[in-house]
Amino acid sequence: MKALCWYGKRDLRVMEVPEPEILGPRDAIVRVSLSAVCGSDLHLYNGHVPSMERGDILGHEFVGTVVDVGGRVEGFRPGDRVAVPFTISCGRCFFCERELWSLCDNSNPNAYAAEALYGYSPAGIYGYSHLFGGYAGGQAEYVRVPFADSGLLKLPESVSDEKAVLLCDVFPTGYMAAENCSIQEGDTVAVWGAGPVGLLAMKSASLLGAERVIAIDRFPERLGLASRLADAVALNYEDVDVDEALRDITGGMGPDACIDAVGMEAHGKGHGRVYDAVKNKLRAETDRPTALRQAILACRKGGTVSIAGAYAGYVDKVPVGAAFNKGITIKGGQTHVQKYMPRLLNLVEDGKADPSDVITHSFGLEEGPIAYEVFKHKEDGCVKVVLKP
Amino acid sequence: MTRYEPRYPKTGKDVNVGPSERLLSVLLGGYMAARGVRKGRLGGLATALAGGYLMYRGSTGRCNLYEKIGVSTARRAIEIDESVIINRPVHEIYSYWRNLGNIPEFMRHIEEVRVIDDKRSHWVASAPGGIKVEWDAEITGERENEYIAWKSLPFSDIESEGMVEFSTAPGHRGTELRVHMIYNLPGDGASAPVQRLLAAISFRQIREELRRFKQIMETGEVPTTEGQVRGRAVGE
Ligand SMILES: [Zn+2]
Ligand SMILES: [Zn+2]
Repeated sequence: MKALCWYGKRDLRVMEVPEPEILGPRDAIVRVSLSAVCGSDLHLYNGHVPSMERGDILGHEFVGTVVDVGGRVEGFRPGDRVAVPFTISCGRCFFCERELWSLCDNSNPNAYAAEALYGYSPAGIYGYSHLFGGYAGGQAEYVRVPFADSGLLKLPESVSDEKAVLLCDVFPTGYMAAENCSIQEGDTVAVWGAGPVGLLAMKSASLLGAERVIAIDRFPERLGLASRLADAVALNYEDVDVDEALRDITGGMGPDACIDAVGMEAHGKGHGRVYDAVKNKLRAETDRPTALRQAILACRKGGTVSIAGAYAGYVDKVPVGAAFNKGITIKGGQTHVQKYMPRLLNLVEDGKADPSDVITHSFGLEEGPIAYEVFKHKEDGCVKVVLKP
Repeated sequence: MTRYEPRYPKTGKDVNVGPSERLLSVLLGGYMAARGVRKGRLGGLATALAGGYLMYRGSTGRCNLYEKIGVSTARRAIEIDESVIINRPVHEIYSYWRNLGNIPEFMRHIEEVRVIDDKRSHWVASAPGGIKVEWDAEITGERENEYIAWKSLPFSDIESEGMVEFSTAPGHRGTELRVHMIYNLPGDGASAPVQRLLAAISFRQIREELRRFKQIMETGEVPTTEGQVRGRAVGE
């Protein structure tokens, strides 16, 4: 089969590899009909996530059809059309039982390595480095799905691949980011990053009762999309002082909740940007928390900062004093995808939400390397890329 | 007031760092070493973990990772105390473990445990290089759903004793399992296989073995990516 493989920083190759096989009794094999490229795949592409190996198959957002199941899979049969959550979860541990799916105790075969970095290991993730299990990803023709019964969502005919593929990660991630804001009727929510997750966080914030949504980005097309799809007030941080603008819009009070949908590769502006660049080079800081710093400083007293963007390691100069003295709640985490998939599928089925309007580009799987470049440089208004095997 | 006391010393008297630091260094070092050995290539990972390692070094003011690993592998006795919480009731965990023949399922350094009778069993451990170390063991004490203790019999290749304790974890979290194992050299002379075995057993290995036990009990399998497909050019 064909698969998109990581070969190094900005070096992806479409390779001919053997088809995956059942390795455990609860495995399923899925023939992929559509996969997507995630913003966090760009962190791998740009070489920011440790423990990638040459030949790793990328991709953690994909839908397809079950073609084979292991002996202990109960709920799925060959022929079932499914979406696959990016978090690999056993369904039986303390965390899975409490719907903290991304924190599964049992799904990371390299848990010891993640423990060295994080103290305790989170769940395994498809195509997301060996720290997260080294599982082969879904930017391929076929993929192996461990713990199929707690890792697959059956899709009704009426929901297209394009809509379904966004249920694997970015829609639940945006939704969880908004849910973590504990939105009250009438709240103002500011979102850093108008990429797919940011856009879906904005839509979700409105669904959950926010009265006003503010989008912060530097790409005019993305800000345009935020205004159009989520009715957001657009702030281009290259043109305006974000802190001042947020104060201005909120009558001097600050947003009730701030969502960082940017994560470790923020661009930012000014001194902070230079500071992080230097620290990154010296390996004294792995991530660039520009958006997080701004969000904490801008948030109103007693408000919430919700982190949806991916961070991998250590960050510096996070204004803890502001967070403490303003009584701010900070929430975050990899998405507990299985918890959100069914309810978001319902919203999609009922026509109350259409996440697929964030998809701007479609490529064949063999054009994967080009797709990543286009996505990385946000060429041609690129927001979300899907790959067809 | 209940004061926490470590049940058994995790460190030999020749080691002067705390258990958590040691564990961290062993985890890191073990991982790095394993990758290095497996891939013959340490660069990528060393870079990868540099962030974490630097923080470790920064917070302790130490940079003697390798030295410590050296210490832990060169020791002449191995003493291990580890615990794990398993999301299953005590009686299930106890009965699985009481059938000592199940132990090789999750302890990779134990190749075989042959149950001889209600008390006695024959143990075979494999040391690197395909060499085997064997001993007979006897259950020296047990109480259903509480503990099992065993000890090697005289004239074994190695002196080994162990105890595993079971208790109901608070907060409906299933079973808390504590394992205490000691491998000692018999007398003063140690055969090469025994030395190899001792050198191969580490904290990390025992932790991984307990993790596998937990995985089997909770999910019925040991999750793995071994044998999965990956993009390798032919001949690469
Ligand atoms: Zn993602
Ligand atoms: Zn789990």
